[in-house]
Formats: sequence, C-alpha cells, structure tokens
Amino acid sequence: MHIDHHFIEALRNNDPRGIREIYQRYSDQALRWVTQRGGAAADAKDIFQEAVMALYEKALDPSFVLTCPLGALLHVLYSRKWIDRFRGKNREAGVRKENELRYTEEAFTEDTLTLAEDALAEQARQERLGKAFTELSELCRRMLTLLSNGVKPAEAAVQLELNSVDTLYRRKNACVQRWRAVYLEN
Amino acid sequence: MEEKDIQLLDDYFNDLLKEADRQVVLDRTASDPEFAEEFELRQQMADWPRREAGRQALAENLESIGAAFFDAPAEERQAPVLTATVNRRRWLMAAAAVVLLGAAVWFFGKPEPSLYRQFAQYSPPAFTERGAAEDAALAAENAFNTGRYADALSALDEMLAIEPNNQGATLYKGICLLELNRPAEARAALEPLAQGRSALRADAVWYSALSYLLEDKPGACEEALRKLEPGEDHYEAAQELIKKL
Repeated sequence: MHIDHHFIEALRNNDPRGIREIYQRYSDQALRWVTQRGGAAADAKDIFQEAVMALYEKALDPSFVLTCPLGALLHVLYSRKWIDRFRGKNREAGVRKENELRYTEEAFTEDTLTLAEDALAEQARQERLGKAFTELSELCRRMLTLLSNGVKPAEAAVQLELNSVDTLYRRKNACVQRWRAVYLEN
Repeated sequence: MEEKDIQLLDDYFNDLLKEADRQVVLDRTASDPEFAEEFELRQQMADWPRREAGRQALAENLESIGAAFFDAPAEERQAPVLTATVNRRRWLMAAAAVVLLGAAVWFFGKPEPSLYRQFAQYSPPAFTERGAAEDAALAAENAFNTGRYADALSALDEMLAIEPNNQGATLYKGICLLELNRPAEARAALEPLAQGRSALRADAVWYSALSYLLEDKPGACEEALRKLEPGEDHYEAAQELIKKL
C-alpha cells in the first residue's frame, strides 16, 4: 500500500478535507501542464475533475489499494483525458499529442500506467451503463434505483403500486434485460 | 448466454437462491469466463443506481472545491490547506466562513451576554468573481463587510436569482438572516446545505445550530451541534459551546 492511499479513502467517503488536499497538492501541476500545452485554466479544471472521477471508479472497489504515488497516477489520467479532447476535435493533432504523451509516460512505472488504464476503462464502462440506464422507462429506473438502494422488494412493490412481489421481480427482470441490451448495443 | 443461465442470474440477484445454490453460481464464475463476464455485468448493474448518487455528490464537491483552486490567481492557490484564513478571490472557499477557534476561546473570558455573539465569528466574505452576478456579488461583499446585513441579504437574493445553486451565497444568506435576528428563516435557508454533502455542510450545520441561541433554545442548539463529526470544520468549537450551554 502506498502512503498516498489515504486519499483513496477520502474519495470513497467524499471527504471534503481530503479532497481539498488532493487539489492543494496536485492541481497546480495539472494547471501548468495544461496551460503549457495551450489550454486554459477551465480546461485544466475539467480534465483534473474527470481524472479524479476516474480514480473514484477504482476507489469504489473495496479491495482496491493504491500502490503508486497519487500524483503520478493523476498525471497519467489527466494527460490522457487531455489527449482525448484533441482526438475528438482534430485527429492529426490527437495523434501528434498521443506520440508526445507516449514519450513522457516512459517515466512512469508499469503499475501506474496499468492502474490508470483500469480506471479509465471502468469509468467508460460506468458511463455507458449510465447512458443506457437513461433510456429505460421511468418505472424501470425507479424500481432499479429503489432495489439498488436496499429497499425491500415488498416495500418497493407498494411504492411502485405493483400487485405483488412476483410482479415486481418479473418487471425487474425485464428491465434488466432491456438495460443489458441497450448497453451492449452502444 | 442460455436462457437458463439468464434465469439463474435473475434469481441470484433477486436473492431467491438458497445459500448452496448461490455458492454454485460463485464457483462457476471461477471456472466459466463467459458466465463470469455476465455475472460481473449484472453485479455492476445492481450497484450502478446506488453508486450514481455517490458520483453525483462527489462531482458536486469537486466542482465546488476545484473552482477555488483553478479559478484563483497563482499566488492565492498556494494558501495552506485547512487554515482559518479565507482567500479573497475564492468565493466558495471564502464562503466556508471558518470560525476562528482561537478568537472564540478568547471571547470565553469576556463578559459577553450572548453565546451567539461569542461563537458567531465569521470571516469577511469575498463575493467578487467573474460572471453575470458580479455586480450583486460586489454589493453583497461591501454591504456585509460594513455590517449592512439587510442590504447584503438583498444583494445575495439577487445573486441567487442568477445563480440559484451558488452554495456560498446560500450560506451567507443564512448568516445575514442570523444577524438580522431571523433565526427560523436562517435555518430554512441553510437546511439544503446542512442536509447535503457539499464542502459547506459543516458551516451550514454550525450556523443552523447557532440560530437556536437567538431563540434561547439550548437543547435544540446542542442537538444540532452533535451533527458535526470529529474532524469536520467547527467540531472543536461545537464541543466548547456544548460545555457552555
């Protein structure tokens, strides 16, 4: 476990003190990195936030333990987020920036790069799930949210004005299959 | 994925399997990669709605905290973390309105008639920021700093009409209402912040608790103060105040 692991706990708990400390320590580095590459402070703020959110996806796994310096991991995350912005706008510039990034990333350990890739992949998967979720009916969204938050099936059936728990399960199974299908289509 | 496997996973995630059958499902995830992949997706789907609320809360906190670091001039970004000073340009950070515990302790020895006055020591706000609400922000800052709380409240209401989600403005609106001896309205204004998970939660809980002092309700004040947890802003001051109640 790296000494910076307590920041992972801060993210898990949405602890404002710990989060402020993350910004205090690493935001300047991100700001400099982005502005040196022609970006604005607002760009730096956005990609730094996206990087922290990606890290949060890893933090949600209770077995996740930070094994590298947080600053290095955040650097890889926000720099890749920055490249993604270019890739979306200008393919040629994106490729050029990507080559530049590959060169700078040689300084980071395999562990850091693997963790960053895992975090970004997990974030992308959760975003896809979220996008598919929004395409479900209101009843499906309400039902799945109630059950996910630990509401007992019998109570959920009452709240949703369904006849029985069996009906709730049938509806839920159909909602899950619909969600899965939309997710896999995207 | 065969229909019977889909049914099996439905039953597993609906918690309808006996323990032995649940174990069979888990064992199969170790030996059947395709089944394991489907199981993991279903687990993610089961967790997603619950976790989404946490994501939203974190995103709100990052937005609030990030503004203070990325929007501030370089020299001000170097301010130490968690000090009791407030950065003039950091509107949201300024709005945290950290009580200076040392000042409060100094006040304990004075013959102050009002516990509220002893403890309601807030930093001067710095409302000026770029944006549509700049004029109102400047007016609010000037009025508050000169003790014209009714004027500050009007300016803050104007700000909130433009930026209804401005948490710092909401916090200072609550403080103005306290200074105008309108404690119930102050609590109503602070309630959403006190119930939320933003960086200003502790401030809102603290000032809501102080509002009861204006109504001479020490029991309610103590109950509200106990919502502050160790490590949160104002926690130590709250413990001092509880001793005085």
